[in-house]
Amino acid sequence: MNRFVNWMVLSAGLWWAVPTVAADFVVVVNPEVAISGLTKDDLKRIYQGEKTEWPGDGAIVPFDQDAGSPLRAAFSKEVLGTTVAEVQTFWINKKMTGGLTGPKVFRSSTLVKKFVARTPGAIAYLAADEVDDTVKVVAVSGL
Amino acid sequence: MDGTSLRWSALVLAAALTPWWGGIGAAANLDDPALSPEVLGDHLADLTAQIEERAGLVGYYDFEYLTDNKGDSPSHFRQHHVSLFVSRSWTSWRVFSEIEFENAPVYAGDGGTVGGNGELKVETAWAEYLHAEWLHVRGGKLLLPQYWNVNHYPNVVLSTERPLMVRALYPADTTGLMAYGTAYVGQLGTTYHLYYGNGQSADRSHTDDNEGKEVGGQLTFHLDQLVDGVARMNVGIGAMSDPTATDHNDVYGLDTQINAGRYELLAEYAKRASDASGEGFYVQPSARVWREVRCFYRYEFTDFENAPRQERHTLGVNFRPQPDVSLKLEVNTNDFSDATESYEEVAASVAIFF
Repeated sequence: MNRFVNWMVLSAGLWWAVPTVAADFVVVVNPEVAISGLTKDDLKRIYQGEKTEWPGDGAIVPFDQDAGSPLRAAFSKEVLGTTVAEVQTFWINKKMTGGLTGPKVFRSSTLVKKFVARTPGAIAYLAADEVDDTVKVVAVSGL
Repeated sequence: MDGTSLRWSALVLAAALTPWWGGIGAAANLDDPALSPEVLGDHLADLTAQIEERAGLVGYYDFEYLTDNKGDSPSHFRQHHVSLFVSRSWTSWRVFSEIEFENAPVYAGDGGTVGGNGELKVETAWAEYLHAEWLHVRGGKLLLPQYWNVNHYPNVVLSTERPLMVRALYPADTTGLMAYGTAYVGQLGTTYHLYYGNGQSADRSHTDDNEGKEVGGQLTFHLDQLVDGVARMNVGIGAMSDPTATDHNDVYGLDTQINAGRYELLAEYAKRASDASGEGFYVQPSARVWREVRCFYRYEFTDFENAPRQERHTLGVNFRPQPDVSLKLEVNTNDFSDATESYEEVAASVAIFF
């Protein structure tokens, strides 16, 4: 009986457990993008393909980190409110229902930063210690 | 991959790509800074990005096992779908099509029809002009914008069986024009769809059987930015009217989708007036119970003027070992308002996006 109770307690713990995500990220844009800040809701809409244009400043080009990156897990949880796997399923559905593709994914943060630096309208997120003057950090309210 | 092996790989790749890529192979030198791992990584990322933009061919596959305790239906496997999607996007234009092979069609080439219950069809095909976030105009064979009707693909939905009401009240598609877009006022987002196309004749992708056209729309409010802790909260209303040769077919409905953490709730209701009146409903709560394992329950009914009311309860589990693979198992019970015998069914399937 005790084993049964322990099993139930453990199961309940697993059910309610929230995965811990330790990584911190900062949001960066191409230096030519003329914004200084975003809201968390804007960022979510950008990464769900709903917001596609900078105000008066051309197309938004979002880039993403590798699916196995702790940064990606943190961003998915904090900004999109879900898991990386569910975000991938979301984009599979978008591809099948409208031919839309999600943010381009790079295998390393170094490449993410390089592509943000040289792509007009680009946005991405990096670890704070990876940022340099080739990209512009933007404040995100609501995070 | 270390730097040396990456350079040797690059030499082979460069030699292979010489006709297209600037003759690097001819002058390749292992000490050339242009072949450093970082520079090559950039080139490969560029090439990958270009290839991904051009190669818009994907698809899905699903395979099922179904068994029930109705007396006259043997358990069976079903090779349900193989579908291919071809798409291409430019800055302001997009073309998209889905070619569907359903139930493994056999076409003998002798002038006969597709064998058995097989179907080979263009599920959807359209071109779209993107003017702005608030205005897209699409023309072609279009899926109507009801939630499950659009988001119905087997590797995305949790269940093997689709809800009874889907495509039984609102039709699946029309051939015509659709305008849609999304706009936010403060934190309240609204997506609209308006469409105008051929009515529901058998030859609707080719012509119409009367002058009256199908007209409809869907308005969806995005409320997630107004409620803390909710990743998605949509509430939609929709309506359509399709004049037929002898009468007209009017349908209206409501739907909602809510995601919060590990929980999801989907529900739709639709009611049809005129020709053969009826209504249908489903509600499907689900929860991610462990990693990518999701359990769901669905209650649903359909009630038509010319058929008995059917109620179904479904309990199932869906496991995605990776985002493009979906394994499903479910059991459902079916009850009818007349003398039709109740039955239970078990369905299992695998669906893969490729």
